[in-house]
Amino acid sequence: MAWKISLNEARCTGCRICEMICSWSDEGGFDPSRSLITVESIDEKDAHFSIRFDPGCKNCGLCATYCASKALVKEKEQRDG
Amino acid sequence: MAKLVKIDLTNKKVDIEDVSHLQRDYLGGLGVNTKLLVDLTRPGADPLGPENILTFGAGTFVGTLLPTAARTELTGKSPLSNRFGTSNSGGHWGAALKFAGYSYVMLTGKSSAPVYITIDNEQIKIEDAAHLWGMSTTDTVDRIRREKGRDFQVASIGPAGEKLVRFASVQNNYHGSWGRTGMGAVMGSKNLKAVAVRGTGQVRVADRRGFAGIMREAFKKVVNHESYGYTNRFGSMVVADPYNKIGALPGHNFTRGYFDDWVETRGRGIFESDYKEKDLACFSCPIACTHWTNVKGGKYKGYENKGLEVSFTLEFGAKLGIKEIAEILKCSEVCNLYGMDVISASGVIAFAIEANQNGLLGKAAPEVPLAWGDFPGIIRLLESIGQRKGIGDLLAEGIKIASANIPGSAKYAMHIKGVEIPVRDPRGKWDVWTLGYLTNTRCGDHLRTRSPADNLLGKVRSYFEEEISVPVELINDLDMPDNLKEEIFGAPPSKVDIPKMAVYAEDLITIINSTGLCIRPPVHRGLGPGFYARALAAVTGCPYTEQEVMKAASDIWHLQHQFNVREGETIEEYAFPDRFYEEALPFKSGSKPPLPREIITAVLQSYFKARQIYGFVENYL
Repeated sequence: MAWKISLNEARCTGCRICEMICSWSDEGGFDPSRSLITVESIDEKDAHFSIRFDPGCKNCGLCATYCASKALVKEKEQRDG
Repeated sequence: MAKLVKIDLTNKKVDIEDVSHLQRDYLGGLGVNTKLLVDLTRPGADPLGPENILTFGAGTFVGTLLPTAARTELTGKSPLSNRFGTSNSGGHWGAALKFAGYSYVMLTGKSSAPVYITIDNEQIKIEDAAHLWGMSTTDTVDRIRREKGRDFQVASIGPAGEKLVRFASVQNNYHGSWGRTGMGAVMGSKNLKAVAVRGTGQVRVADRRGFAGIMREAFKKVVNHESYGYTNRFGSMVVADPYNKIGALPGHNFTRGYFDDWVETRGRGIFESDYKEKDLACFSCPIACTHWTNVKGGKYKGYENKGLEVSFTLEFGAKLGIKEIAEILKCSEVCNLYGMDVISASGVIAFAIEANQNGLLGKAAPEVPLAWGDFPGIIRLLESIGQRKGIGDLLAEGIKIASANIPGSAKYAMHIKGVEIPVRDPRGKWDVWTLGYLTNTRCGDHLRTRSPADNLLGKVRSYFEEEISVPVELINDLDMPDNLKEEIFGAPPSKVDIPKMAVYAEDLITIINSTGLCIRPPVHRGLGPGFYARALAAVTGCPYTEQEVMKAASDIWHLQHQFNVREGETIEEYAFPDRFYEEALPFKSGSKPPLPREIITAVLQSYFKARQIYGFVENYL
């Protein structure tokens, strides 16, 4: 892929749209528990979040395409030389 | 398949029923809840008795990726109004229910001892809640999550619901609420502390290819809508400044619509610069209209909470006169901990303060403040209400009953059909929104009759028509049936017919509350019945036309209205408190005139005609 996904967890609003679009199956199902990206609350009151990619992530970039808060942004890969 | 979980709390029995046919005819969420309440509650049922039924209905789109598809409606007979009761909340609860495999949870009967319900995918249990009874809502969420798992979403009541405060809310995790009309008291009357849900399954749409296009279209329309930017930036606080500018605040129990220092102390700008830390969103929502507050300076530096919602500001800031945003947030925090509706709690306190100022409470109620803005006094009184202590016991009955027990206080009792009037003074601004205070089926409320072509800054007060506020191209682009567009706006668009728009606005919001999207402006204005028909077809596999969706929405409204008439509603109740008809509203150096009673009655007649309720008109008008 010609891009990487940059992460800014402080901007994450906890909407889980990334998990939803990641889990969107060929059969038409949404199943965020099988998503290859996981958003978790890191405080007691569900206000701040961590974002974790599963090793199986194919870097398709759909999560960043749908991320309105810019916690996930698709960036062109920098190549040396 | 749309599954209803039926829980009989008297006999501790759980059944699952397929209600796809009801969802087909009544769209889902609010619509199905309405049908169940009307069909299964006997006329005259005690709202706080075992015969009332309480239904959580997650909207039909919840669990799919449509923007804002997170909303769940909670419906029962209201102990505050004795009429149709319902409230709506987002967060993650409804999505968890869908991923567990269910769309609705209906609670009947009454448990002999406190219980709570866990829905953990297919496992549904009624469990002992003795250890939770008496806890605040946040402690309840913490305890259930500690015992059952961090990933449970928890709908719970606090002490106010347990003690049957008539405007008790059901809280949605830590900060959300099913706030209005007292559904928390209904839950408390059933000895039910909480409904905790975990779902890790799949939600499938019927037509994947069709849905994929609709999903892209919906995101594009919502995120590119002209209202998206300011809704994300300020949330509901966007209207805080204009309400003051037009003199429509509910200040000091609706005796002043304007404050000189409003913008500097309680406006959206100072909220953004001195309080707001970051944006937060409900499940599947790209708008993220709500915020996390972390106070940046002053004596409350470091205080954190979720908000600020404009309803908190208009209620505690204007209606009760508190000037410090952190103190406004602390008032809403007390309401959340006890589980009380912010609007009714603030309303009943405003009533008590004005009654006290006029010498009607004597020395019997030392807890009631005498001065507007008395933050410590207001906090103490909120707690007295939540605990039903002292005068709080009477105020917990709501304004209507409280005023009936305080001779001479009726003129300060600002409610419609028993429900405390929220956030905006109709003398400050008369429009579809304020007509809706009278016509919406959950009584004195503001969220069910909102025009998708709002004109907040219109200058001329006109009762039947208002000026168009948005460019004609936007009206041409509105997703709305062509015949209604012409009837309401004229051809070419030149005005807004207020009574007809009120009917359309109520039906549009009924569709939104049934399908589970949100009424924030980018959705409310960006998507319409044509979209909902296509999306319903793609999600459910049942064909829908725009006309069928509109008819279903109208049918749902009529069911709610018939329920209210069945429960004793008369046309005399379609009225504002006398203050709005008899007193001018001070505004800067002048005032805004009172509402003319006979003209308001004529507007109502036009509304009922547009609703095709001829019998009601003949019988009562």
